[in-house]
Amino acid sequence: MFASAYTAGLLTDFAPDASLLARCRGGDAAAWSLLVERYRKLVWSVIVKHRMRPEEAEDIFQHVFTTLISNIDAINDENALASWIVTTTKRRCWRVSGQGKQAAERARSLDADPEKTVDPADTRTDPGDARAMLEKQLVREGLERLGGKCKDLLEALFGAGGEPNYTLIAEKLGIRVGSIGPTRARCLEKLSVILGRLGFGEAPAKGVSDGGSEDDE
Amino acid sequence: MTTPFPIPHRKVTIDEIAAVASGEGGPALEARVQEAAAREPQVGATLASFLGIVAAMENDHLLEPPAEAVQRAKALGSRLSARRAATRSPLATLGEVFDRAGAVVLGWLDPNSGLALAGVRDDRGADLLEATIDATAGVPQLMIRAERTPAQDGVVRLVGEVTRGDDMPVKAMVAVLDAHGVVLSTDETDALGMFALPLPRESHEVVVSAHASDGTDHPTIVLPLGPDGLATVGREPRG
Repeated sequence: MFASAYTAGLLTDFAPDASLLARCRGGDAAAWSLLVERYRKLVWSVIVKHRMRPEEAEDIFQHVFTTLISNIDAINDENALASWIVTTTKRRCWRVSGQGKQAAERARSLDADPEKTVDPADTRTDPGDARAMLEKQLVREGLERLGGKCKDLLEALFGAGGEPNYTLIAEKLGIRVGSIGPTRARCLEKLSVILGRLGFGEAPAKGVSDGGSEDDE
Repeated sequence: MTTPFPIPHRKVTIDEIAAVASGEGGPALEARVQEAAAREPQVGATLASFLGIVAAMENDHLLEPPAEAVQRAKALGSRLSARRAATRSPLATLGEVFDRAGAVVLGWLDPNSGLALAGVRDDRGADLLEATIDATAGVPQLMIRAERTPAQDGVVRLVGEVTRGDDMPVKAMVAVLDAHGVVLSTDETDALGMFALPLPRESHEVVVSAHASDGTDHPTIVLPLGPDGLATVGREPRG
């Protein structure tokens, strides 16, 4: 029952970061699109965590990817790209949030609600946040490696928000409602094996707390 | 009177563990799975892994950036990566960075954002130009940020700053040239690394001559505005 369900075929369509970065350096636009697709939520999660204003958020989002491609030759540790992205995004958030505006002004403009203001120290010293973001990213990567109907099913069940509608999910995926439960179990088991190999649930990923960004602004 | 027999532990199935991790199955099943998890390390590890996955996926849909922003990021990269493959000389790289800034960054910069990089004014019609020159042998990283500023007197200026990667101001001479190499305007950065100079419609390229802190000169940096640079930099203010 608990035997590994992992098979080599699960990885056939997945391109690791190192491969995508190498292809980007060679001018492969499709590889860049895959990188953006892969890390879009990670970047956005850091921005959301810092409670940036909408116009600032999109500015920062573009800046991070612009910085990445400008420095793509300087990424030394290709296995720590996620950490690099978190650090770069955090630094950009701090910089933008402190740029030409005092915290008090920001608070006033946001109806003086302290919950809506940006406090750089709030996240600067909290490695737990970074770890949680990176673990979520690891699960996204695991799902990407898993692929196929398993990925679609797990995302529909757990990642779409709200109570899952089994009838709609079955219809969308072309499976019987009665098979959702057993399929869910098998897919979770496969994903669990993949994530185990990626270090899910272990110590913080390399580079989480040591910066490593080019963006030493 | 009957003597109760101890009920042997019934093994839990992977389906049951998944159901509990999914928040289904009810309290009785949850208690049985939890008990099994405490008794059998393998069950415990599986349950913990499933719960971790479900927790990590929770609310992930709320972290989806605007589709338009994603498309812009993809388009930016596609354009640059294609160009990177074509040429990699330092001068061409600088040109591409600046051209990218003019052609792409201006496209996504919201004119109503009130964004005021370089610490200057509140001109909502301003456009942003930004270039980062990677460190080379013995020369630190250099950053040039500037904004096109259509002032109330009708003069369009390029206002910005030249700094090192660590934000220290850099002493530099900045000049705007036309397509024939004629100097149209010049300025020197002040103690804060800031400069401001007129940006006529004939503007073709920006030249930055910076001095490192040890007195040595950076190589002169030429920032072509690209084939559509005039249309980009010299166009009418937005907003």
